[in-house]
Amino acid sequence: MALQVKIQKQLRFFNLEVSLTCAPGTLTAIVGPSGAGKSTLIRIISGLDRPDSGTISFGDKYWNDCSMKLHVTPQDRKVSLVFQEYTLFPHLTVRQNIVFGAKNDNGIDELLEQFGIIHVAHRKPASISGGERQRAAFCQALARDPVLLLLDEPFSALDRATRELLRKKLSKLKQDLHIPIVHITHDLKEAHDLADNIYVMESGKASPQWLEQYAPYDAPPSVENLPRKTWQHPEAAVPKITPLTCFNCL
Amino acid sequence: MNLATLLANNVPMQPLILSGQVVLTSTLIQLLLSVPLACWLARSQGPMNAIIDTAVTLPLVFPPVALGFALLMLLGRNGPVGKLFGESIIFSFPALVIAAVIAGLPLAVKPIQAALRSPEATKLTEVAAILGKSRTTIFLRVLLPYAKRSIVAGVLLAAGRSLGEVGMTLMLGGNVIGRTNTVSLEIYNAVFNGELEKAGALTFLVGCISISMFIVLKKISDT
Repeated sequence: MALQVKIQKQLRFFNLEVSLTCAPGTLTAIVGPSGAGKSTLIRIISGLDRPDSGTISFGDKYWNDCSMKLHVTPQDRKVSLVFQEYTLFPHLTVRQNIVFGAKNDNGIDELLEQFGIIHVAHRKPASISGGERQRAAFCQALARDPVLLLLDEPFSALDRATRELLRKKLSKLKQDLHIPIVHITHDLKEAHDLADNIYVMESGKASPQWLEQYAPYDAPPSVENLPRKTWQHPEAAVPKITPLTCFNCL
Repeated sequence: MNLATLLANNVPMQPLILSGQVVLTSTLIQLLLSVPLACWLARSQGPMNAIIDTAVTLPLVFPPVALGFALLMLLGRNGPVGKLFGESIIFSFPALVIAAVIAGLPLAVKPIQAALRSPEATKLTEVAAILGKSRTTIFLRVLLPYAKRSIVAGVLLAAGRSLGEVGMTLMLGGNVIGRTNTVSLEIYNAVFNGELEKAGALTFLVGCISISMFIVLKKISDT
């Protein structure tokens, strides 16, 4: 089932206005500088925040319909969200953390094995490394058997090796799970490598940019490193833009 | 004269037992009140929150004797609350407990409130909600274990405060010898009567209890 988002929310400095679709088995990356409204968008999709107007639907079910004052709680959306910072429950062991989100503990050990953290299953999050914690957070998210996977910059605090490992896992998960995945990142290269659709977002506006436009070129390491003054709103840029000027303008 | 003899000769048992009873009862009440109150204060907003928050915090900044006087007017036989009870609760054991609870409550509530209001607690609540857990499950299985250390530390601090409470206890309890003279009031009485050895022995005992509490608190914060 596909995720469809068409919402608007007034934030402090700008109006968040997003319209996007994410089909099952595809990964949609949302890239943009800090403060562009990416995390707010993820929070709205997960049900942690409410939009001012618009709708969010998943398949034939509406999660938000502001005209009907409909808001499905995060508990009832069956989504999973992996945050940038490690968000395991500190009083539970790694295994207990993963079981906490699951219906039962069937398949938990296989999941731990798959992510290479079976050896820390009985340790508390404070006594394992950052990479192991984030792998455990992925396991926790997957153990819920979600209908939609949301990733809020999950790789940004990781070392290169763990980042590469988790990127590979994510590529495989995309095929295996066949659910929509929305992935927020600063890193254009990461978006380029993983995503089927890339939405570039600035000051609350998002619009699709297709992966083909980036493909022939080396992506710059980070949107934030690019000169902000030449940033163009992609809505205006997409129809005419060539791949090269696309990167230059970003 | 060695320390044991000094203590045996100068420490009256009645104020010690009374203080023990007051501290135990008030600590139990503080434990029962502080967790739901702190949780509500941490999660709610609006004027009612501001009013309750101010009322809970007031004993930290308001002079205890003045607060004791206000409570005396409120709970006394002719006070608006006192009239509700047929028999006056002033100058009795319940009055001592009320004074101890009010004095210690902010010290129990504030650390728990701060822990529950922290960005980490908010984030863990959100993670648990996304994992499909109900509010009750989140409270019992996420927030309570998360705030466990703050709860223990807060209640210990409150117990210590209850043990040392004088101003409100004097006003509400009346310092009736043999009935409402707690250890702290007994030290005051001893000094007033020139019994410095007795005051010294009692101070030594209260000091030992307070230091033990501090050691436990430090162990909790270090773990």
